[in-house]
Amino acid sequence: MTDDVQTTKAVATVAIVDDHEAVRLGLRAACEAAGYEVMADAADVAELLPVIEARRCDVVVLDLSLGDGTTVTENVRAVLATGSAVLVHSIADRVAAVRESLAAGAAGVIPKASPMSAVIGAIATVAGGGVLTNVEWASAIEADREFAKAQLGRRERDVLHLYASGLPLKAVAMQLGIAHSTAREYLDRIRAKYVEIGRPAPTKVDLLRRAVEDGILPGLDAESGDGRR
Amino acid sequence: MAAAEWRVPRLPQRKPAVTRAQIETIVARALGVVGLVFGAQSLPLALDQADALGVGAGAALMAALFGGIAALAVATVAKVAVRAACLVFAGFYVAGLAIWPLLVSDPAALDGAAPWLYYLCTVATTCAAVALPPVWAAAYTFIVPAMYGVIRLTPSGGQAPPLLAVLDALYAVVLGVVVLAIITMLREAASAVDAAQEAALERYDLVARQHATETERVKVDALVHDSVLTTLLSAASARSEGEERLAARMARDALHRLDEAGASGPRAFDRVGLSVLVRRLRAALTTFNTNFAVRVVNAGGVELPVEVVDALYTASVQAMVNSVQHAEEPGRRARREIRIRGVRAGGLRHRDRRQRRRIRSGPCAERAAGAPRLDRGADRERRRQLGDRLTARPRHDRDARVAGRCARRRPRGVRWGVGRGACGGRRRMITIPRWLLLVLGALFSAYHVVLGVYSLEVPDSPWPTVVALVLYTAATVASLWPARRVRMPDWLAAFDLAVSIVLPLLVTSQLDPSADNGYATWYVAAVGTLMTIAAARRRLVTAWVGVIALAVQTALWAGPLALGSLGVIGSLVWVAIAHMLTSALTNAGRETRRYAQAEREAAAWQAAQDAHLFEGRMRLAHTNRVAAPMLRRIADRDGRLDERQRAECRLLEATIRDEIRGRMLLTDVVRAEVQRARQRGVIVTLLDEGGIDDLDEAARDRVLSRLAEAIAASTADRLIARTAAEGSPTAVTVVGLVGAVDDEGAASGDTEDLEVELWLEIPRALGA
Repeated sequence: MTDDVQTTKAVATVAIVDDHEAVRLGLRAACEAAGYEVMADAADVAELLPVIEARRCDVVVLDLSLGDGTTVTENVRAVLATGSAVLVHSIADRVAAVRESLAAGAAGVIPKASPMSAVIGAIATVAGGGVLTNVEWASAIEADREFAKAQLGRRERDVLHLYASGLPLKAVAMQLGIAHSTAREYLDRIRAKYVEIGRPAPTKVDLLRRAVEDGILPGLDAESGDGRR
Repeated sequence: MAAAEWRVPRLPQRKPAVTRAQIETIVARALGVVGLVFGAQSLPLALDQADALGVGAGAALMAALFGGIAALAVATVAKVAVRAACLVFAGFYVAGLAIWPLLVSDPAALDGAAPWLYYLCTVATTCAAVALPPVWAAAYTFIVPAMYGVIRLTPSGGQAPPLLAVLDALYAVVLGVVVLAIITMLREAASAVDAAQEAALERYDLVARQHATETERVKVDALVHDSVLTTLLSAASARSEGEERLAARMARDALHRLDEAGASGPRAFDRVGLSVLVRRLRAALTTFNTNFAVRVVNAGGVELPVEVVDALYTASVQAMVNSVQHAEEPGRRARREIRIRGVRAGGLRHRDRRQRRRIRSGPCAERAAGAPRLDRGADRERRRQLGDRLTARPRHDRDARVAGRCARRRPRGVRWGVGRGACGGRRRMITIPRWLLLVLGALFSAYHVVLGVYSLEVPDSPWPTVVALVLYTAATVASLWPARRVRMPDWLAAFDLAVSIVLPLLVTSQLDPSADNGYATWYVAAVGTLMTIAAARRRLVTAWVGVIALAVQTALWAGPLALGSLGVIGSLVWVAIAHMLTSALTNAGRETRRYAQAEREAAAWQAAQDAHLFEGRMRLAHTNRVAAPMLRRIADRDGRLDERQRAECRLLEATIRDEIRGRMLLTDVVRAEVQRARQRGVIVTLLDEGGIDDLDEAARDRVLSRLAEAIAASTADRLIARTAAEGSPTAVTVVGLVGAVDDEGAASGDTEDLEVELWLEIPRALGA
């Protein structure tokens, strides 16, 4: 992938969490075909934890909507606590959930719609200790306007915006007249900042809030007008 | 619970400064104290006049009335049977007044003095104001002093000159009406606070409960979508028989979930009468603090699909909330009206119209807001257009419309609420009209002038008094003159204060402090009245300085005891009452506005929630419409699909995802071009991050037509269209990439090896 892809010396270990059996089955087959050891596949994180606590797993491929009442942050943090890296494998239609996972420390997001080769490539990147930097990642973070405004410098914003538009990094660097490596450094810095800020753990209101943020719905801000308008 | 802590409109937690219950207690206790004071004041006179009454009659009358006063004091302190005590005293007083001529056995002994009952008249009228409904209390306030006036003329009433009798009676009437007006104002202000609080709490409660269900529903919907999309992808990529079977099972599960979530089913085809919409709107109105007139024309026989009624309801509530929010702007007064008109069977015209005094400049743009689709930004659009024009056309039924129109003509005739400029719009809730207060103030002031003229022969030289009368009249007229602003201008406050200081000096220069000057000391009450008016017009410092100066002057001129006998204390009390009243009403107004604001926020929240719910249902219905046939096929064929069907599954998944992730980027043209590009094998990603929600319809059309053209013309293998941040001059970026495409298409996560074929920044504004 874009990152330092290493042909791993020992066989990398993978675990899969998805509430759809067909997805688990497909991923398992693909991973095994690619030469990974699939330690376990489970419908939820709780089921997986004992396995990866007993033996460290390199990459946990995690679905975002598990439907078991757990939150994204909980799941990502629980997995990270075992020393495994998290690769989010999701339909990726819910930006808020994607952001939440990134802030919680997921190494990257790969949409379920991606071809299997891309998913395997992403697993390779994360298994090699790298992070997955792609449009989904950039778009989710750039859309977090509060973060972009408060935490990012001008240059960082420019890089993120162009990259989130879908341009390859080399094209981004060219547009801005900077070195490819500099552009990459910017992205790494942005990622580090986003994790560092660690957004507030969302509650059930998250989806409504997202709708408000995204402008589907008018704002509900109570603080904005106390008695005067 | 957790759901309540975020973005939930907060209600003012503080206990309101004014509530109806508190006002009742305060008014009752004030009455108790006033009763005791006036009772004590009249007791010596009552004892004096006891001889004039028949044997035992005087004692009986005194026992009844003073007993009533004592009972009143006890009741108001204990807060028990206050109303009963008031009614008893008011009744005793009328009875006492009625039988007074019968009780007097020796009119000569009265020596022309007023019956002592006169000094309790205010207590009686105040009792009536506390205990009776305003109309009855007003009647009592007029009838009782009139009775007194008549009695005063007769020998048993001291046979006073008619002018004196009329003046006395008039004074009692005016005083009674003032007290009644004050009590009514306080009550209404407090009721308004209570009502606003109750409305806010009620709606808040309702919305909070809705919110809980709503968030659950959102979660369920998200899972349904996830299930449908994952199924399509799994079916597309299933290779082994086991995977195919699993995909088929997922398809059945997804169909089941769609059914359960209510995406399919007969509901969409149900039609309901227009009256249902009317009923729902009326129900919604009861939770609004603001009046909307509802006019329904030809509702009978009109039927609409449930979805359309939902859409109209949501759009209307949102429009009403917007309308109310607009009205908060100072200086704007609006008459709000919702018109629902059935155009013909199967259709209706529905208007949410507001008329206001200041019409916004600029043309009334007409445009479709697409309310039932509730595109992102459509609500903002509606908000912006409100008062201009708002048209929503549900796609299912072309006959149904929501239209709001900018009314260009000025409203005429009587409007609800307080008349124009009343209290500068600060006290909208108080319905005692301002003119009544002005008239009362004028009557009161005129009374002093009449007394001054009447007693012109008392002073040594009438001229200083004449000058004083002229000055006083000028100050009063200027102070009572209807002005836009409640607060008195500086120059007028200074003039009033000067008059208040000069008046006593002028009048007393010709009076003998040791003599009984009678009505010649009219200036004391006059200064009190003028300063009370100043206090009512938000000049509290001026008012207090004026009456304190009066007190000092009086004490110096006639000694401290004269403070009581000349009525200076009364003037001080009046200013104090005005002070208290002003701040109570201001507080009440503020509280009311705060609660109204909280209520509006809750209403906005509710409207947002309604819209959200509706949006969710539309999305689900769309997903169902698009995906259900394929899901059924997957289930029926046990997941065995040919290549064409697999490709279609991917296409369907992408299409549904577009509806969720690329909302504002989608128009029918864009949809068609994206579909065509995908059929060519291009991977298209649409990412809407809310960046173009603020664009108006025309600009959005232009931007998206450009997007559609770009997609059509591109030869890229991969296309990414994304909205840029709001602040950017760019509305939408389009990136086309070409390069290594493997058998399943270009790697989605990896764009580094690809070449840029297209880099397009579609500007927000023309010519940018």
